[in-house]
Amino acid sequence: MNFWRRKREAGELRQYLLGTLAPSRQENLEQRLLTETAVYEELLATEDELVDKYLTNQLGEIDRKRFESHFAVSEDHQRKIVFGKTFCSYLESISSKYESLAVKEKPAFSRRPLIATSIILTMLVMALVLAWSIYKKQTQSSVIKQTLAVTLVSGSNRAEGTSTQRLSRPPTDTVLAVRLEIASNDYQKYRVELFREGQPVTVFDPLTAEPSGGHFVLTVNVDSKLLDAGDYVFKLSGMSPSGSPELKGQYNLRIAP
Amino acid sequence: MKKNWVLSQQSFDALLEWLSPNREDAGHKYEIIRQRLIKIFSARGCVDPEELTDETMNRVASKVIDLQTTYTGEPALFFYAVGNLVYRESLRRKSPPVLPWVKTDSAEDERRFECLEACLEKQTLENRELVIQYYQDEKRAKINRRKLLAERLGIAPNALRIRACRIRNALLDCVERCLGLNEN
Repeated sequence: MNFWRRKREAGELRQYLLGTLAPSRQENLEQRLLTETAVYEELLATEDELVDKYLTNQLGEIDRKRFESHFAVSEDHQRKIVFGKTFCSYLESISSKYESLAVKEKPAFSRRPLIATSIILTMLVMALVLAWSIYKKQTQSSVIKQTLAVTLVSGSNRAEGTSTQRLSRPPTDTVLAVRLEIASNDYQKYRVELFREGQPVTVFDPLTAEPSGGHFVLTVNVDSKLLDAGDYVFKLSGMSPSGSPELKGQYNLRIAP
Repeated sequence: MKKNWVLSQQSFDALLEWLSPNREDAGHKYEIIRQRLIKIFSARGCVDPEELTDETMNRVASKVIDLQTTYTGEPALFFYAVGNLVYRESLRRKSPPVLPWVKTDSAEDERRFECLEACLEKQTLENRELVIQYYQDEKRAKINRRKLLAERLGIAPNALRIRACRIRNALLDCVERCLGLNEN
């Protein structure tokens, strides 16, 4: 039963009990009382509410007179009035006890736990997405912002007369994409060890080779923070099926100040 | 109907049979119709709704042999039609004295109070808490309390209203039995 229909019926039931409902409406209501349990129960609830309003002086003057001259006439309704008086007395007697146990007004948040949880989860997800995008932006910014690339040929493959590749020291917050050329792709995975002045700097693995113009390249992205001025060697090893590295070549690079 | 017509067991059985071939179901329907007719007569401002209802039930019982073959439709509505007739006749009769306005003495009030306490104890804790919390407070506080109570119970406000009403009426019956006013 929708809200407005219920509200209209509640008004009609009150008028009916006070004897002010139009006869044309009364017959229909009474037939429904006899045949529809829901309407009957609404009537009982309306009787109780009317009794309580009367006993607590909440009826207007006209309704009060109708209550006393019409509603309260029948024995059935008088039973309700007498009980109502007793019940009101009882409720008053325990009101102080129930004040402390009263259902306190909860924050709107906790009155709708499902909605509150949904809002919290949504905010959490949004915060995570935002944090992730910031993180990604930061990690990618050096790549997106400035990426330098250099292609190195293996020292063993370097033709006579060619010198070590030289590069100015890259600016901070950049990444140097070092492309190592190999003639053939003999391994599924590769490892590259970076040395500076004979000292190990870092390791890149696992790497995979990509075809490029008739040969293959392995790309290692080196953060510029690792590239102070000096001579660098990239030692390339192919990873055998057993997992042991097999040196394939080394590549030289000089970073100038 | 003849004056002083008395409802015989045979007529009563025939009446129940007319309401339903299942006797238990028929008895339930009979009681429902009876209770609701009492409410209708009460709502019309009748001093003696139970008496008028009994007269209505008797009149229908006296005609049930014919009804079984001639009447089609909801039996409750036939009771309603007869009840209207009984009501109109009652208006033509000399009105019975109006019941004295409800007045009880303090001793009786005390007994009622004790009976109510005892009847509340007989209710389940859930029902007891529900009915007390539902009818506590005044005006705005009552509305807010009821709203929170319905939310806590996970039921619609009107469902809470009906549930509270049922418990309250059960308490009323219990109190009257406690006082010896209600044999049922």
